[in-house]
Amino acid sequence: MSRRFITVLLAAGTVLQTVLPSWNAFGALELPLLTGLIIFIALHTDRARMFYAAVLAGLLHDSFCPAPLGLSIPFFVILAAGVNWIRDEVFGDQPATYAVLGAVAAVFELLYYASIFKLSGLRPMSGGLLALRLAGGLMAGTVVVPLVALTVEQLDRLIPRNRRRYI
Amino acid sequence: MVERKSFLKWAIAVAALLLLFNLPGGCTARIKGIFKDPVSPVETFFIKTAHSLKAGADTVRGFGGVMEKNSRLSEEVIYLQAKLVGLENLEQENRHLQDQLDFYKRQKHTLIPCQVTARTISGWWQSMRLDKGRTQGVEAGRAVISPDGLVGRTDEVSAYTAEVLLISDPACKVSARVSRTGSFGLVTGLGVNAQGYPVARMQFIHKDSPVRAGDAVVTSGLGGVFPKDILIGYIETVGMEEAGLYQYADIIPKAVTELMDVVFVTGEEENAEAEE
Repeated sequence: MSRRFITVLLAAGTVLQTVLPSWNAFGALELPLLTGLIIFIALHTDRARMFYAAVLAGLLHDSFCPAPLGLSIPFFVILAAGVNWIRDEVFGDQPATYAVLGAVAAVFELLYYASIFKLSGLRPMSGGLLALRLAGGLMAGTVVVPLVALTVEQLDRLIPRNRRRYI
Repeated sequence: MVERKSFLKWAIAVAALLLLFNLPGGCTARIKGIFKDPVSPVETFFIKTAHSLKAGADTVRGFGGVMEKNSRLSEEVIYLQAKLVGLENLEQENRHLQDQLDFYKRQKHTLIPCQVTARTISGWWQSMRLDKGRTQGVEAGRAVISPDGLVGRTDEVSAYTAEVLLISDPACKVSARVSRTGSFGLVTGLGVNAQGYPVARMQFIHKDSPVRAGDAVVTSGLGGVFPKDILIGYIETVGMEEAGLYQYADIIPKAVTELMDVVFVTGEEENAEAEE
């Protein structure tokens, strides 16, 4: 997976995440497309590309919301590093693996942002909203991340083998 | 030596991150613009396609409803029903456009019509993105309004896009007035409620003010950002703050709940001509 392919994937994931409607019943929860992409990339590339993807995902994520620029970079870097660290221990091409990683990532994401917003006072939040987002995040992570992985796998297969070096 | 290099790499990464956090606002908006501006046309394309698909689905649904009655109706009626659905859509679109035109003419401020291209990527924020930016005259800190009332204010503006903080976002604060009683207060966003509807709260209302559910809340015009007498929403519930010094009122912000595809960003106030 080349850097160019990673860049295109993340840009497309960002656009889709902003265009697809949020899940209002679960506290305006967004679909974790970027999270899914980072999990897939962390399982399938080397460390340098993984860090590149994580930093780019963080920058893209923060660019498309009023959050301070750079806020999401540590989240994506830690997530990618964590997944990369256990990648020899898991079956990287199984939907169940992605479902579990998606659910864990959803919990981590919620805890990360909730603690940052609580400490900085950037966002007021209630226990009810957190519980709602946690429930929704677990469901969305379990369902969306395997679908993202499946889609990227198919896309990767579509690229002719002799062109993979360049794209 | 390897450990020292690794430490150096991490130190540089942390320093870069800290630098990123502490960049001045204008610089951050410019960097964000580098990512946002190229993507904006793609988002507009997606939104327009989604609207076309929705319109198509509405028409098909119209056909479906007629088909259910097919046992009683002739083919001519089916044709007429389909035509009627099309005409109703046209009439609705015409009414929307008429409303927007009337609303545009009524304003004392210059208004910049903008298409809503996307919502925020993170559910933690109540914001949306417009398809116009600095090059079209949109500035940060301007009121965003629609025929239904106040939508929010522009936050980060890049060359071709503008981020709008909706009135339901906790970071958006508006000086407001209850239209019936004239009581002043401060409207702050509360995010979304359990049903997914955006909500806001008007605080610091005088404790003896006879505000009640159903009262309209409008902008007071104080502070200079928001024009005077723009509808914010209607009071849903009224309560007393813990200390008993002030009342508060929960509001459903009408323009955010029924968010339209086209909104207007206010510019400079037009003087004599508009007032006449």
